[in-house]
Amino acid sequence: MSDTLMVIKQLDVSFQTREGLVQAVDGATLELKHGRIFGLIGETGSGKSVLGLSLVRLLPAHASVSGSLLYKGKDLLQLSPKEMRQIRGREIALIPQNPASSLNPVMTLGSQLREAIRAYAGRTGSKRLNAQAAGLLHAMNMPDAEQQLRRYPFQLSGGMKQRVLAAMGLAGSPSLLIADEPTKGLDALIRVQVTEMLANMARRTGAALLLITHDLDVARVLCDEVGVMYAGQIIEQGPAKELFAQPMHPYTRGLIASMPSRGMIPIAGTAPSLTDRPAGCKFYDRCGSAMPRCEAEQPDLYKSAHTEITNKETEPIDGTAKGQQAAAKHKARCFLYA
Amino acid sequence: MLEIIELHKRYRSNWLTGRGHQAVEPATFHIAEGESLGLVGESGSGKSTLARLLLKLISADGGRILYKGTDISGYSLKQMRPLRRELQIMFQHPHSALNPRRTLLDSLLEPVLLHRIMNKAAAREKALALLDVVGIRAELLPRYPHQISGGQIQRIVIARALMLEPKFLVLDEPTSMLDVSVQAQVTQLLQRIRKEFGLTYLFISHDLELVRHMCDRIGVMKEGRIVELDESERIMERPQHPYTKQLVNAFQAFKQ
Repeated sequence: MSDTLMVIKQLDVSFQTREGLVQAVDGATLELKHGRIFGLIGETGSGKSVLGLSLVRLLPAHASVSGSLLYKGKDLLQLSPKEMRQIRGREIALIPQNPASSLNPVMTLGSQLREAIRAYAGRTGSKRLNAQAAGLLHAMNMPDAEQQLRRYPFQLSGGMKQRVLAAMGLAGSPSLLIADEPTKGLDALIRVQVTEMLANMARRTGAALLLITHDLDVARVLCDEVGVMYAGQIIEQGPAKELFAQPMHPYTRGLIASMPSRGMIPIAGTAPSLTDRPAGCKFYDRCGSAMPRCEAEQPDLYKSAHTEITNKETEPIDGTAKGQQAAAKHKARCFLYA
Repeated sequence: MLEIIELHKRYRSNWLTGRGHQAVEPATFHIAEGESLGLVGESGSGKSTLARLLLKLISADGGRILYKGTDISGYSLKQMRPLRRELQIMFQHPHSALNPRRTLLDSLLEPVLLHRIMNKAAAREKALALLDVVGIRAELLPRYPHQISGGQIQRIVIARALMLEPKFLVLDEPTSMLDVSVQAQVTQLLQRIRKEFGLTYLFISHDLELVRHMCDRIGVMKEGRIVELDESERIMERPQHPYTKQLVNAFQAFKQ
C-alpha cells in the first residue's frame, strides 16, 4: 500500500546488564502511515521509549537489536552510521522526552533553532535563518516568536520548552516524527494545546507521527491507531476509538479503569521485572481472567471476535474508509480470543 | 481546623523586569476538620506557594493563619516545632523526597527520632506496622531510594508522614509523576488512610478529574488568586468563573 511509510517487523531490543539480560522490546510489529498518528501507550518501563529510540538508532551501543525496520523499503538496521545520519533528523525526527534537559542551557533558543535548520537546509543567510526559526516557533503557537529567539531555556515554562523542541524536530520537515511523551508534566490547558498542535502538524504536512505517551486521554482523542505495551510486548493493537471503547486485553481494561475519569480502580500488583519476565503471558500474575495455559504458554496476537460487527458500526472518520480497514486489525495477545 | 485570612506573598525580583511578582494575592478560606480540599490551577498559579505559606514553610508578607482557633502566623520556628508533627506535606517528585544516601528504614525513622517521641526500637516497630498499612514489604527497608519505583517511594513517604501521627496533610501533586495505574493505587491508599486516621487534606493538583475524585471542595487558582471555591460537583457541573469554565472544558474535550 502506498501510504505505508515504515514497517516494523518482529523488533527485539535487549540490553546485557549486571542483573541479567533485559528484554526491553519483544517482537514488536507495527506499521506507520503517512498523515496518521500511531499512539504507543504503556507505563514506565514497558519499553515504549526504547522502541521509539530504536527507530532512529539512538540506543546505547550495548543494546542488541534484531528484526527489521523497513523505512521506504530500506531496512534501517542495515544502514551504515553515515547513511543513518542522512535519515535521522531529516527524514525521521525525534522529539525527546525531557524538555528541561534536552535544550542547551547556555545557548539562546534562536541559536539552537538556527543550528537545527542549518544542519538540514545547508547554508543560508542569517536573516533567512532567523525568519525560519521564528516561523517554526510561530507555527507552534508561541507568542512573540521573534522575542523568544533571544531568550534562554530557563526563561521558559515547561510547555514552551516542549514547543521549542517540537519546532526543532520539525526543522528538517521530516516524514516521520517520533514524539516521546510530549505532554508529560504539562498542565491541562497546555496539554490540549500541545496535542492539537502535533495533530495539526501531522495532518498538514502528511508526515507520520508516532506518539509515545502514558496519557490515555491524549491517545484516545488524537491517535488513529494505538498499541498498548506491557513488559516489552505490544499486547493489544487496534483503531484508537475501538480500542478504548471495547478494550480486549485484561491489562488494557485495567489501565482504562484506573483513569480518574473512569473511577480510578487500580490493577492489583506490579509489572514484572524486565530481567525476569514470566514464561507465559506477561500479565499472568495480575490477571483476573487467567487460565492455566496462560502461565506457561505465550499467547499470540488474536483478532477481536467483534470485528465483523464493529466493522459496520464504526463510521469512517475523515471521510476515508479508515474505520473499515482499521477495524479488521484490532487484536490482543490473550488466550481469551484464541 | 485551619482558617486562612488575607494570607499573601510577593516575590521580589530585579533580574528580569526589575519588578516583583505577586505569587499569592490575599487569600481567605477555611479547611474543616476531616475535609479534603482540592486546589487546582496551572503551573505557576501559586498553589504550592499558598500551601507552603499556610504551613509556614515560607514566611508570608501578611495575613493570618488560625490553626484550631489559635493564631499561629506569628509563631517562631521554635514555637512551630511541636506543630510540625501535626501539619505535614508530601511533595511531588518521588526522587527528591528521600535522602538518596540513606536507606528507606533510616528515612522512615528520622522524623520520630528528631522529635524525640520514642526510642529506636519502638520506632522500628511502628514503622513495620505502618508498612503494612501502605502495602510495602519489610524486605525493602534496607534498600536505597534509587532501588525502588516511584510508586513505592510515595508509599514510603506516606508511611513516614504517618509515623508522626499528623492531623493535616498537604499533598502537593503526590501522583503527577506516576503512571495511571500506580496513581490509582496511591490515591486509593490516600483515601483509605484519611478515613482510618481521621486526616484532613489539602490536595494540590492540576488534574481536575483527579481532584474531583479526591476532594469535597475545590478551589481554583489563577495568577495567585483563588477565583472560585465551591463543592466539587458544583465546580464541575456549574463553573462560574470564566477560567474555571475554560479548565472544565479542557477536561470535557477529552471526554467525548
